[in-house]
Amino acid sequence: MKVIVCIKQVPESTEVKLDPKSYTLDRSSSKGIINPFDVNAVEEAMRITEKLENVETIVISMGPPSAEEALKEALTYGLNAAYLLSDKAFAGADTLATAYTLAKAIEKIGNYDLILCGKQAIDGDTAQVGPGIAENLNLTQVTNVKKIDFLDEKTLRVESELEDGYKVIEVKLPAVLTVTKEINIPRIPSFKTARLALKKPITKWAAQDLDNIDKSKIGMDGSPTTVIKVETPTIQKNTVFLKGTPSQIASDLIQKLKERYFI
Amino acid sequence: MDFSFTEEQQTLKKIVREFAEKKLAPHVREFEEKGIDYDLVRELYKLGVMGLSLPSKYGGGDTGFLESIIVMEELARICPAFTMAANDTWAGAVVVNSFGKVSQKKKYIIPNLKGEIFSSFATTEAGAGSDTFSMKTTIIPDGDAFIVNGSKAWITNASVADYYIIWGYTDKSKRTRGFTTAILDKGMKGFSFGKKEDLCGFRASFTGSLYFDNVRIPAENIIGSPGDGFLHLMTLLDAGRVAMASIANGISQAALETAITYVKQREQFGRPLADFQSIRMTLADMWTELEASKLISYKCAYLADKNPMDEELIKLASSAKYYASEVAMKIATDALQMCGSMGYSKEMLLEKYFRDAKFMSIGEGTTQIQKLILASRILGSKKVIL
Amino acid sequence: MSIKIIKDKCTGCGICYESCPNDAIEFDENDLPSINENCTLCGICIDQCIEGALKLEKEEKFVKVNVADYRGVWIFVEQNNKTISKVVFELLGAGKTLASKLKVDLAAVLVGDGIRDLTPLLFQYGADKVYLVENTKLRDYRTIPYTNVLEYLVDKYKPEIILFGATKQGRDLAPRLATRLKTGLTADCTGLEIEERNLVQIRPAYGGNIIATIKTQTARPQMASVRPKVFKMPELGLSKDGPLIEETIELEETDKWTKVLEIIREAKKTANLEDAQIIISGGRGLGKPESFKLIEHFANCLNACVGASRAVVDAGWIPHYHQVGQTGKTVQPKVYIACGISGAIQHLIGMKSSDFIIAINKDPEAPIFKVADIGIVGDLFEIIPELIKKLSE
Repeated sequence: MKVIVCIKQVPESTEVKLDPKSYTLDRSSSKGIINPFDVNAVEEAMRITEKLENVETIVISMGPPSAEEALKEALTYGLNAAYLLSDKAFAGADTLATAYTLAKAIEKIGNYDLILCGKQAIDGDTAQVGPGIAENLNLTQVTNVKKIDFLDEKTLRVESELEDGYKVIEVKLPAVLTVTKEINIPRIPSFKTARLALKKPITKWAAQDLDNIDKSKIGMDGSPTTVIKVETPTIQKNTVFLKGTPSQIASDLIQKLKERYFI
Repeated sequence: MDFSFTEEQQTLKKIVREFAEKKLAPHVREFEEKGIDYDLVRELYKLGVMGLSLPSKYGGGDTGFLESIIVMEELARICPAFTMAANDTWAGAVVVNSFGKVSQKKKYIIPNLKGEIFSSFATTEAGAGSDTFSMKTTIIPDGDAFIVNGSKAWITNASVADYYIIWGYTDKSKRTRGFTTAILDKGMKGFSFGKKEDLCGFRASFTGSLYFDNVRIPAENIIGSPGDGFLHLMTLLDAGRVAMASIANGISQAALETAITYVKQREQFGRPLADFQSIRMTLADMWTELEASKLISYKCAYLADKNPMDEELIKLASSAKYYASEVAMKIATDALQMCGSMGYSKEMLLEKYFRDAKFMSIGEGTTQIQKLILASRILGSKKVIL
Repeated sequence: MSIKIIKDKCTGCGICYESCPNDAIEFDENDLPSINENCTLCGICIDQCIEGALKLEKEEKFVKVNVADYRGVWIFVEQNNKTISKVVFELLGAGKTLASKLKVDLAAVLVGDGIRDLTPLLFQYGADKVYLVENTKLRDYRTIPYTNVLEYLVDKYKPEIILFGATKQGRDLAPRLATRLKTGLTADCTGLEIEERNLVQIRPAYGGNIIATIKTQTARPQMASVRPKVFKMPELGLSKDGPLIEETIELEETDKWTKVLEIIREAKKTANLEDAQIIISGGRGLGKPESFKLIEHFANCLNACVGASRAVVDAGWIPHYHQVGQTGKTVQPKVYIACGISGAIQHLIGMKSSDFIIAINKDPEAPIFKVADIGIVGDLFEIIPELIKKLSE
């Protein structure tokens, strides 16, 4: 069985605007990490290798050259192989172009049974690439998955979150599933596995390596949405500090909540 | 001279840090009150970060000494007592590996590195601290066995460990040549433990006494031959000193980071504390001293990997230990001072770092002893003059 | 398609270098900047540069359709078990404004089985017309059949704008459809405007630390999913009627459609933080897991949900589904009360959009106070019992 996990490298802290009182960008906090939801996907892939026989796991990412770090880290969890899609031609891609590019790479890897993605990336926050990949490859899709059970080699019983509960869905492979944080608690990679992982090569593909790629569908050319501008909103709060004895403070607070019709 | 960590070492640091922050940090206060949960130590074994410098044939990692330093620094940054206890659980395996027979190695090292059994390392006695060789424990041959009598004090993991490496005299008249290394297994008849000591810091780890009342041990529990003990102990002490230095550096790291975060946020007189020159001067000192201390310990690792008997290593290990200890106390004190009343309260962990730091200049060879050892070597003599 | 540096305007201050999350900007010894291959065109540097020395150079290459052929604003009507999701009405309100500006009709698109009776409600809330597709195979929402149906309708009727609620269903359907139609989709919008016949989509990114303005310039339809509870519910109009356009579509079920075996609605006990009006969260300041009982008691007095910081979830004091923050839930309650929470960035990201924030913490320097409307510097073990006492009176 072949499981492919798609990951994205995102900034560790999405806090990009700094408090004017602090001192320069703390560069260590803006380093790249694997998107947290993708770590759940990686962990789930590893759990599948522990539940079933003969499972091959592959991790893939589209990004700038620095995304190689994220793939290296993903390999330390124990996945078998890694692919980096990196090319200036891929830059500026919105979710449509990104999903197309990833789908083309997955097609080239071929013979897959299950594709796992994190539900969304904590920088873009769109949750669109997983479904986009599914559509490109004409596959079944289930999003917001919080549990995966194998009924047999080709059939899954999957729980997908709803606003007020969840639904239980039967899925026939091959399929694309996007997972939530509820699905598992990722392991801390064992050093033994990590050491072996560091020796694994990462296959790098540029646009020309992807068979039959339509250049008009990748990168900025393939992106129907355009970011016109980006602003960092500032929260200006004039915090009112309540003072007095606990009893006075409590009365004061309740009064203020009542005034605003909150209670 | 390559001062950088290899990719593997960086990955190791990351893994241990993640473990320390996610699994150890939430329990720091709880462990101080109730003692360490040794299941968490077992998790460290599962993570594959214990016993790295031991042979992979017995479950180790075939790495150099630097890896162990990295592990201890990262763990001590969160809880020094946990680190010392955890490290001690395989210190016995180091002894057995360095000087034991294959049968002993298979019996003890393999299960130890699986996290199935734990060790403890016992030299100190109530009457023999800095004056190690005035110890009174005896290991006397009796037919094809040996009888052990005496006691040990201030021993980490006492009563928790499954096997104990101890030292005692087989023949006091031969002085250092009559000194023997032995393994005592928990449960042996006559082998008992004292209660947990109530200490100022390092409260989470179990520190207690060992009592040997005519404990009969088989010949296969002797490491090497009777009389080899002095050589064993001298070789091992360096490793212990660098280990302590690493723990001290972890404490310093934690205290420094806490102070930096605090002085950036805390405002007095209309500006952050970090804006004041006196704070900045002190921070520069703290940072530099910690950096120097870490570098000494890393060089010790480098020397140990090349040749553990190197004369340079003997000097540098003592240097590493006492310097790191003094620096830890200074940084913990300065950091606490910067954080004022908040630093003094249990709301923050600084008061814990302060208490833990004090132990560093005492345990595993006091600062005073380290300096005397170093000085005599500097002057070209092996004899330590008090 | 790249970011260009206008050298005349650059003063070498370095703020772009400092704010780049991808390490894509470098300065040489002469303080001259350059952009390297790590650039992802996110545009943060452009926003940060106070001299205006950075700009995005692009050519609009994505021209696939004749824009003028597409007219009309559509709202996808999400319904579960024949109940229309509340967000649909909010969208009808927002959609009406857009449709008026564009001088086009506002249509509601209703897909399912046995849902015909819902149409009057859609007219009452502002729809000018309703498209209806009924089929037993559409009874439960499933991605592919719904996408097929919408694709058919879009191809036939060519709307210029389609709005979806940014619900779990909406965010499952919209991207599939957008990819099928090869058009632009903007997720989780918090603002919508019209500018020269283009839909201007405003949405948060980077966990809410950035507000991006996005357009789908030449692709059609312009698709957007819209965050619930941002747009107001419109007024309920008088009983209205209007054109009901019904389409019958042949649907052939395949394995790819999946089978819905069961739908489990969970009892209120399981904190649905994302819908909560009032949330009371506990952090490390609680000291020990047992102290969460105090928070629960307080929450019960206000009919509130209990939230938690990551630290206490990681420590095992409370299950993960209570976690508020970057890797937990993002919440927008009316009232958020943070108890013993320091306010680490990762937590603030999850709750700072709350309408009214109250923080109780012993440390006056705790970052949580920076986002609080009301701050209480004190011992929560003294304050909260007083609050409970007074609320119970």
